[in-house]
Amino acid sequence: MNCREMKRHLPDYAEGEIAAARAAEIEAHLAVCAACRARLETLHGERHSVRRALQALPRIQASPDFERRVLEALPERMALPQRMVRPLSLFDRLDAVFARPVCKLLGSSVFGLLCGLLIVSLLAPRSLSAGDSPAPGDTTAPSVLAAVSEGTDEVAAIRQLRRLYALGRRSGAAEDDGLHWLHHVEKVGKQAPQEKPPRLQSLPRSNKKEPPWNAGILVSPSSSSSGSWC
Amino acid sequence: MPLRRYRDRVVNLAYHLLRSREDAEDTAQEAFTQAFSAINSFRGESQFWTWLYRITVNLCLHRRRRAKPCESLDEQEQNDAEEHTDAGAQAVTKLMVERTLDQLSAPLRVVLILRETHDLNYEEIAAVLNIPVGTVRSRLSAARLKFRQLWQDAENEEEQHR
Repeated sequence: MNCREMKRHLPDYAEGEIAAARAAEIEAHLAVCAACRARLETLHGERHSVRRALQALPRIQASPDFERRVLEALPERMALPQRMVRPLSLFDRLDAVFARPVCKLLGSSVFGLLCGLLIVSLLAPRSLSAGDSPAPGDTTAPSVLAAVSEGTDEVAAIRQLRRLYALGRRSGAAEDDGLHWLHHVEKVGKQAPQEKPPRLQSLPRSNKKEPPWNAGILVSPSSSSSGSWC
Repeated sequence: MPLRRYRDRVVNLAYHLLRSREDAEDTAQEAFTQAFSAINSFRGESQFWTWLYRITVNLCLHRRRRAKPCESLDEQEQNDAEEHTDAGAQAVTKLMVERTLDQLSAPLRVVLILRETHDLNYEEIAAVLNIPVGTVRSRLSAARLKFRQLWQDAENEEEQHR
């Protein structure tokens, strides 16, 4: 790599936004070129001066009643069915399993057999008595919790929730349980093993690509573009 | 899970864009409510948090546009007065940063905040703002240049006042 190419790539290198192979070429050139090293130092200085200034902006925390306010606002926007808080039926479980692409092929081959099971399951009693509804703080509560706990990441959880939501709407159940739905989502979040407190305080950026916050929570350094979770 | 995991980040993003704690909380609440209530329209092609961030940024920009300039300024000064209980260099720096950011155009301000205070990389910023990575790169470069110029002016002005 020559100095002209370096001039083009150095800003991205200084940002830590360059591929490893290209970074190696740049580092090889930097080892022998004082002018490019000086240019890089200038870029680092400019970047850090802006970053340092912006770090003066205070970080705040959501107020204690933030969640409550969101939860209170939700039922007006989304009417979720009562059956969202009941235990998953065989129908629900089969439906979720056969939604997975890998199972679709297999599922189609045994579709006839499963139809019988699904019909039986659909005919089974679905509604819960009031006493069956999950109590606040009951982390073993079924339905959404059970569905989400089977997922490995947040997107899978959201998809599964959406499927349950659609199932509930198809059954025409009462639509009054948005709060229960979100309470369960929150409980799952508490239990998620990968959950860590967010890193609000930024650390100096190295030339290596860093995740936006704690690695392992949302995106791994190598997966930011692939949409990978956890 | 999404609410607890992202609430502080979303509130902070709104706070950095709006500079008012009360407005930030209201906007963040609205962002979560919109995201959850429209969960069926989330196709999973992007990450959930980038979708949530996009909603937040759009709401903040809309809120700023809607606010009348004179009212906005008054509110900001009031917020400054309320929040600057820690008098001293730190408070002065914060004021200078906020005023410098205010002089940037919205696209430059947003990209700079996402990068420097929320540690998003180019691709993540592109996903949040739904713009090409090359645009992120050019906006960020322009934002830094403009910020440094304005910052220098602010420092000079500060020196003259002393």
